[in-house]
Amino acid sequence: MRVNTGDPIPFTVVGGFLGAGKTTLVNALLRQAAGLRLAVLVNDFGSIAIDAALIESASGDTIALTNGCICCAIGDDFAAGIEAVLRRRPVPDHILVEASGVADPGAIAQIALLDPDLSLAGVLVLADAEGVLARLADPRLGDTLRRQLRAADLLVLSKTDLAPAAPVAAALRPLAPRAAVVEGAALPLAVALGHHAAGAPQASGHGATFAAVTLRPSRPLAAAALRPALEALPEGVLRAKGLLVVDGAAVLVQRVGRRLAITPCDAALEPALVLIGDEAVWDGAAALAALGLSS
Amino acid sequence: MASPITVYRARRIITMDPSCPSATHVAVRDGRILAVGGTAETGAWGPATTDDRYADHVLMPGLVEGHSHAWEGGVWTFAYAGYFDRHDPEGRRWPGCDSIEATVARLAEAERALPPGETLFAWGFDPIYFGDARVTTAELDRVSATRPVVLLHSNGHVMNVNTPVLERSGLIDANIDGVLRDAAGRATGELREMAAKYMAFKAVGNPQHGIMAQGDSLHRFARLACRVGVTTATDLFADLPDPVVAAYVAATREAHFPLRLLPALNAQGLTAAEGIARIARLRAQNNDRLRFGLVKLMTDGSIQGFSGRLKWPGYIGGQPNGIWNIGPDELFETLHAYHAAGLQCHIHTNGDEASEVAIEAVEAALARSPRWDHRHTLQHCQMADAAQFRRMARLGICANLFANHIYYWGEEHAARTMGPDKARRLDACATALREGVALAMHSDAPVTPMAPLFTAWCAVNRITAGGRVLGPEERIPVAAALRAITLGAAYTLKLDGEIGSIEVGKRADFCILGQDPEAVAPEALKDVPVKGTVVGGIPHTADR
Repeated sequence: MRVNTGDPIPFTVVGGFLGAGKTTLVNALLRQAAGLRLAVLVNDFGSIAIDAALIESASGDTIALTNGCICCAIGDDFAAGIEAVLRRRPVPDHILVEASGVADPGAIAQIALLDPDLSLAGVLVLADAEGVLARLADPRLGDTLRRQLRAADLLVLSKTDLAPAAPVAAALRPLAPRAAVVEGAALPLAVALGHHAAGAPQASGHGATFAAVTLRPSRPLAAAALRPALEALPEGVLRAKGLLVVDGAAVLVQRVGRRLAITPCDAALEPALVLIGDEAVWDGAAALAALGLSS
Repeated sequence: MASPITVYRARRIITMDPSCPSATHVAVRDGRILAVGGTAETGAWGPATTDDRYADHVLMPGLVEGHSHAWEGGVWTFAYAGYFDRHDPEGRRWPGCDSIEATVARLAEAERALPPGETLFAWGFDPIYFGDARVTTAELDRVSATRPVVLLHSNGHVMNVNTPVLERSGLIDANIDGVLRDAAGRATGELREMAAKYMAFKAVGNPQHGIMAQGDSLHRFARLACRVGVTTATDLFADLPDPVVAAYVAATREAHFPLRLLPALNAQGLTAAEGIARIARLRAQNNDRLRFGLVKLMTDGSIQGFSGRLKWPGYIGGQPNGIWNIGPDELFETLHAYHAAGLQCHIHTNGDEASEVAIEAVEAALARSPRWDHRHTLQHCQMADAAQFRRMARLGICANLFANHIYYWGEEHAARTMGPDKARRLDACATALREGVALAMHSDAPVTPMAPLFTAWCAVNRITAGGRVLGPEERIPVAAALRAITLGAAYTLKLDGEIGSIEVGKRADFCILGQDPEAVAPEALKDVPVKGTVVGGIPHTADR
């Protein structure tokens, strides 16, 4: 059942332990979100230190920002909080949930898999390169951390300036079988949320540099060929997103990490597919050229 | 001119005051105890009115329920579908639904009484007592094939719904783990986890919201308290939105409201700084029957739900360890913040790993911010071992043990969760006392019925619903159990100077009994009839 008309709202979950860098990332995304009505749901406002100049108004459990974004403190009742945000007007463009340090982000993401008012735009799990391996070995924490890693579409390694990322990524990869691993937590909006404006995504700070390439079809596409080609994209293609006409019908393609959804939609736009990621997007583009997709 | 004096004469008064353990007369002035003993003591204050209404009764200090939820007064808005017989706040006995058929019959009866269009909600269902049998849409569609039906399980995490709810919510076609399916792939209507329940409530609404702000809910809770002799109770996990606070303030200001209420603020969902400021604001509204100030922290889940955090060797069936509601590192920080602000924390711990983390968090907070007489209390603390109790005693941590669990889930803990050996130390009251821990015990109402004499009976006898004695070495004497449900519980609330015993200067809060609990056989303790209470000198008669 739906409470909104129009396209489902993209829904992103950010998970990870206390100190993994969730709040730093969320704050950075809020600063980048000009023009995008981002609704951020947090347990409490404790760690969300919003620049006072950005705050337009604050009432009770909601802070409205001058750039059109809102932050809602929803305590531990995510379900009630999400439903309240769905009923806001104007309807948010994107909902981002910052999960608590011990929550299973996969359980929260299931809401977006069930609710036709939402569409899951990915589960981001942050892990700090400096401390995550010690936590994994701690019997009090390891199982909770493993549950988080298992849910990740994008596994984002933070604090890569304090510890080498490669051995940590190697240790975590088997625990996050669906995830693409990103080294460095300074994610542009396009990578974190999948909202891609024209031009290359801005990269900053440590870790990877990011790129985006837009592909357009030159001939009809067949589902039988498209799905395996998308599944075979290299890990560095963190997201693939767009509207294509497949077997004569319009579909929405969304891939984040190894989570791929190809769903029917109304063909209102010119067909195009955007690949977002590191330099591997060029390899991905080359691979899709065989299907007639080219930049 | 001094206020009038009322002298209550009783068959016996159990005082909990070691200097005068037993009395026959108590004098009350201005809602407080003026004198205790015999006529010599009560007569020494001059002319008094003698009230003989309790002449054939036994008086105890008003009973103190250190871990309950005022939701017990709200949940009866819905149909009761629990396994055990239970009395509602008005005293009506609802027979337990001891089979799935009986559950369906109860729901059908409630359905007939409901106006058209409303969703039928029922609570308290626990399939753990039915072996492998499960409720499905087949049963709930017999209750109604058109009206939404929602059956909430007692664990709070699972519910069953009928086909109209599955259809309206779209869950009938949903393919996620939280929607259980039968061998043929059809949704059974059993919903687990947040997402599936979210969709069901989105479709039919969540009727639990707003109930505690309704004027009658707290009165119903107080009426129930009176029936079981309770004069002080906690509401030990409260989000306390403004409408609920307003309802609490309004009710407790009524001259004849028969209960002292201590809400504990749920510390999750707000920062410690916000919580500390919030409590300061709430405390400004305190009155003699409403005391804000307690803080509640949740560590793990429940043992019978396999969400309690256990130390090695874990669950006997090999289930994975439970979940954290607040992570260990976060607990250290949050607890310290409230501790340093001088507040008292009540920390939910079920499994022994959770208890250990909570003990370590208090120890760390004390090292950072030394503080005497904090009385932080582990709530439930069901699987603590002797070493943990010793450590608690040394650190000044109180234990409020969930003695009712022994009766209601003791068999299940022996067979399915802890195993027969570890189940012996479930809610180990004797060990706690022997190691010097300040002890209370509780019902966690509405998880189990509030009735402190029953709770004391559990600790004294350790008899399970299956009839066996679980861990006989952990039984405690009647006198110790009666202390735990009066002065012991008052101590964990820092009210032992004000309530919990019948001593001069304390509040005139009494529990009125038809028999002497120290004279009946220990096995009969739960059957001692409660006639009512006196709260602040005002008599209240129990509803029957």
